[in-house]
Amino acid sequence: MMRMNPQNTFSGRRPSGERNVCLVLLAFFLTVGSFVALSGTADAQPAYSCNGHCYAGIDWPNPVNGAETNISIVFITCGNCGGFVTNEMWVIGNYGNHACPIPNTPNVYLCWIEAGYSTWGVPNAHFSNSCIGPNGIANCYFWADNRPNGGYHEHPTANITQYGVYADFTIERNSTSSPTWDVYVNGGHYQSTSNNFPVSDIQIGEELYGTGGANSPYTLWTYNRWRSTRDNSWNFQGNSGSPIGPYNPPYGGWLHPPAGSSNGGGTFWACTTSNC
Amino acid sequence: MRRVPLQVIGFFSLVVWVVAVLFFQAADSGAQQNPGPKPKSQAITYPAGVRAITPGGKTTATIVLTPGVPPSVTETDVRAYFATYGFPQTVPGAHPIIEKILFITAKQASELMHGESVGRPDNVLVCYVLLKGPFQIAISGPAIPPGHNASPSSNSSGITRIEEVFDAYSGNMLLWGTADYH
Repeated sequence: MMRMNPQNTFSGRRPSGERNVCLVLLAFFLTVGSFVALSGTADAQPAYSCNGHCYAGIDWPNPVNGAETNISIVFITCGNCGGFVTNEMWVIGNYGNHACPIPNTPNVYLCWIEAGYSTWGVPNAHFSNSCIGPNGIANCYFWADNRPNGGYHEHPTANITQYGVYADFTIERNSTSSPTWDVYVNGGHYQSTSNNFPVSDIQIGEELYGTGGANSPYTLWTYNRWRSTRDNSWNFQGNSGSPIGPYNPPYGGWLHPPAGSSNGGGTFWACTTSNC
Repeated sequence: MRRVPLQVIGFFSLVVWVVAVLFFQAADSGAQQNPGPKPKSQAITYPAGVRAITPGGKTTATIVLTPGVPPSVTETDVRAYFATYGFPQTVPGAHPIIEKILFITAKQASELMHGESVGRPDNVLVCYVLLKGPFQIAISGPAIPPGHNASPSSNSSGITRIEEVFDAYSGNMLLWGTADYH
């Protein structure tokens, strides 16, 4: 007959050896779980349907002479996704004007200037090798325009070499030549020329194209400003504008909505995953 | 061999966990603190562009801004680039071709592109390439402004022509775009 050891009966206190094993296992799983959760790399990227372009952003409707935002620079990826993801700002106008056809989009007309940063997948829908830097990463700062009777043109300016910082993006009408716009991208100064269109909106946000594979971690837009057509003064955005999307993905919204001129034009966030 | 006590293992696991939490919090907090923009440069930036053609098989990051310097890129280099890396995506069944390869000044290239900025001084040589598709590529662009009901046709015949401009010395791509006004 087996005699029960009184110390093994359920009396509310486990033997010390079992307690130690439980503590070790708890600490181990906390450690592993923390790395997995906090690094955000263990999540599989979901598929999405964005061949018609998906957005998470804000539109401010008003004629302006310029717009500015500061965007946090995060490690965006596309790999072989066949599409792209961008974090950027647009100055747009001439909606419906037949001088501004949008390539590959019949019966829609709009002119714009944009500045931000983007992935170029390898291979990608544009070119197999554009935007590969010496470090092998295919992320670029860029600006682009769709001009009246001028078509769409894209200017990759530099590979991204530093993440975890903010970059300034400003688009403003040149003070001496109205068909010319000064475009500032992370300290570089470029010009969109022969581009005279009346501005109707400023937009900021994330653009996603394709059906899967792109990833943009948590990104912030701050220092959101507009330039007056009346006196060329710069002013912080004072209202929340109109939401663009979010299409989920991308996900996004106001972290801190603009509040008059007291909080630097508000802080907007966006990302491609639901748990960022 | 002396066994390490389980309490010690558990303690060090806990320390690793605390360090991990602090590390990732620090990485996030850096992006949330924006020091504000720096003063803007009044001088025009001439970008290096991004890697594309390798003239004579050699890679160089040197930017040449002096007029009249013979180009390092050749027509052979340009054709080799497209033969190796392909053309932009075409509509099904299309057979893209290179219509033009021109070594011209930046000003001349800008005029071909109806005034598009090239990113080089007017008299510096660049390599302009015109491709015939039709092509079916995605471009970056804004959302239709709220309040406008856009109903674009889903039947696109594609983009007939694409033009690209390369630095004539490094072979880097300076810009590309649609050229359906030709």
